[in-house]
Amino acid sequence: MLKDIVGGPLQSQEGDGRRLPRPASVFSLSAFPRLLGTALLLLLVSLPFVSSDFAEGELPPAEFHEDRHGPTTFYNLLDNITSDDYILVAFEYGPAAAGELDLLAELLLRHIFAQRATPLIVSSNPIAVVHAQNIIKKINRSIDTAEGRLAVNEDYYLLRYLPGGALGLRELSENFADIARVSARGQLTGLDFTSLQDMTLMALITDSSEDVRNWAEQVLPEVEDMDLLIATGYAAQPLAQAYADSLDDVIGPVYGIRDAYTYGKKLEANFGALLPDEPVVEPVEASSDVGDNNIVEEPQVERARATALPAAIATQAPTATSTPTATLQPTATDTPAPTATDTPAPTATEATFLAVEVISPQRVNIRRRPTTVDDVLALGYPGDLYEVLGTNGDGSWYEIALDNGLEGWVAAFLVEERVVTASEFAGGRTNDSASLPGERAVMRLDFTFRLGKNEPRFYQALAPESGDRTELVLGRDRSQEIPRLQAMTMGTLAAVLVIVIGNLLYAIRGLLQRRKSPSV
Amino acid sequence: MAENTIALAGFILTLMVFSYLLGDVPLIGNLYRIAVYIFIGMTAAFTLIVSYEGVILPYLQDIQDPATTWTSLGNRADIYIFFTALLFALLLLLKPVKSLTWLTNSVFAVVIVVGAAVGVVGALTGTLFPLLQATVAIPDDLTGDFGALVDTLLIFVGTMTGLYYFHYQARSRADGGAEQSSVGRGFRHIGKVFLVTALGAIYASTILTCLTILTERIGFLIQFGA
Repeated sequence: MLKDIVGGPLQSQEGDGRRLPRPASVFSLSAFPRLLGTALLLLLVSLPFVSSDFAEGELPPAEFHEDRHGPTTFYNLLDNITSDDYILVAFEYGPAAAGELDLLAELLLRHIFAQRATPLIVSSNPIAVVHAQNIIKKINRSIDTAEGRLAVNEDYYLLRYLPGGALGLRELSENFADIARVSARGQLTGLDFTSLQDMTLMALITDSSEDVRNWAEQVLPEVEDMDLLIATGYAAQPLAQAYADSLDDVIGPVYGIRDAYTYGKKLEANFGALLPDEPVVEPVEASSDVGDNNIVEEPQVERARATALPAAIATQAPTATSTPTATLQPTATDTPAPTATDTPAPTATEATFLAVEVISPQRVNIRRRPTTVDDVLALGYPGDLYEVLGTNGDGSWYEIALDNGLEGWVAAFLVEERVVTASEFAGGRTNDSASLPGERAVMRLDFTFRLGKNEPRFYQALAPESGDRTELVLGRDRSQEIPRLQAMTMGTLAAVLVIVIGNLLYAIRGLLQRRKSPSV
Repeated sequence: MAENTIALAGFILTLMVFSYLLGDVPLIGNLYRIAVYIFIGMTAAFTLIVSYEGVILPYLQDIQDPATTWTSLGNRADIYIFFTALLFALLLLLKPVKSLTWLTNSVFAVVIVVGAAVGVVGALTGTLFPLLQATVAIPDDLTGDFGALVDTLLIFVGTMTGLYYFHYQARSRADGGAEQSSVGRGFRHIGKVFLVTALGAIYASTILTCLTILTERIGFLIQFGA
């Protein structure tokens, strides 16, 4: 078991009972090339941290590349979960991989918390359970107020450790109700699930190909119509990519520090775009597929909602919490003031537009294109309303507007057409999801998130007055990210140099030895 | 204060691990070993605590649950499982007694066989069949998507030649030696290229992982020292 826990090169040396090999002394001649190569590597990797003159390498893009079942779908699925959702998060890495995966894990958890969903953390590695708790402690340290901090067994759950590797995972998939009953500290969680099917999504964070394989083999086949999001280190990426390319239910992988950087930038853009000094919602163009009058009017209504709803909801926010604070009060500077140019000033409550309501008893997939094999952009829930932008040729799919500015497609048999007013649209939500553009905007405008299932409360995560707001929304120290990326470039350069120089020396030595040896 | 102490401990332990680079120098050489022993010791202790609190203790509490009686089927089943597990654990402790090693081995046999059975079923349903289906899946419109066509061909050729690499077939020569057909040799060579490329990609990915972890530690050391 210790071999599994410790991981890395130590396990092969220590795990079979042999003593660790003693390295050659630095003073021995044979150690000199190794020391030289290491010194070169350490020097080049260190330079970006001490001087900006060595800022080599391009930064990763701010957007994930478009790929079927790839990182974009990974992000979109997480961006559309709601407070009703439970996300099973598998922490399958220990301290040895923390330097690579902590950033991704923290972003993933922050994303889930920001969407007000509840992560259930589980692991087949006992140290990973402890490590996950440390990451949540770190997130809590970035929250100013004590009442806003995340509470175990309320805002998140650390489920009991799964012993036995693949056997433990098999138990998870077949006996989830019992496993969810007990926390990692042996306390009752109060969770009452019937099966793993009650989860909305599963997310796996791992540094090991074996864990990817185990989850794909022991857990994924046991659930139906549920996506497994995979975040890995570089070493596990090749296998994870093969699963993502082959299985519809495997999404990702998001991997390595470069993807972590892009993930952070996307979160930054998502939250930052809703800040008061930036447009709240971009006007949506009318679809050219359907020439319906209702749909032609839609952009006006969209703009009206984008500006009218924040004010309405902002005034309700203090009454929703028992302890309103100054930061919850919308101020003149924080609230986007509708202007004549931005808002055509229709009476939003009188305008009508065509919408569809989800009538399926189960959650429905909203896809990028009108086909079941394309990417899932978001999940719709019974009772959810979406504006209709158009239909496909035979009317079997509706093109709808999503809250995050994207447009998606939902199968017609899962929804029902309705003509609604803006106020009906706002009041017609059956869940308190964050998928209403205005509501989500004002939530983030005030840096106020509601968390918890049993006792809803307002979660004042961040103080809007202090510092860079985007930085605060993400709530983490990003000062090391860029130097690390540059250090990666320098490190790669060093590795290539060492390999090339080593091979040259080896070739020269071979030539010299051949010259010295007598010809046969 | 506590955070500073933890950071200081991290700084010292990181330097101790890096002392491995200096080789087997008296005193310095042992620093690496001490750091490793601390890590393994703490890992073992945490494992024990997490296993006890998260697995063993809830199980003990469950079988003592006054809500269920000894006569109820559910509770009886829990008790049978508990005593079976206890028996297996005791048998494992007999490992040092050479004449009773077969008892310990039989416990291992049960665990290994059950593990293998679960593993095989999972491998078939979770990996082999789905990946096989994806491998043989032909795009709907091959003419319209040249990239998909190339992908499909590469996967097909890579799979077939990769499998063939592990297959050895030769005909015997008159002098008693073995001779492989030129076609077979060609397939094996192509398969080798695919295998080496795949292994090279995995190795490169592992180097990137190591570099990522190294940059985090270097950044930590420099930030701490600054």
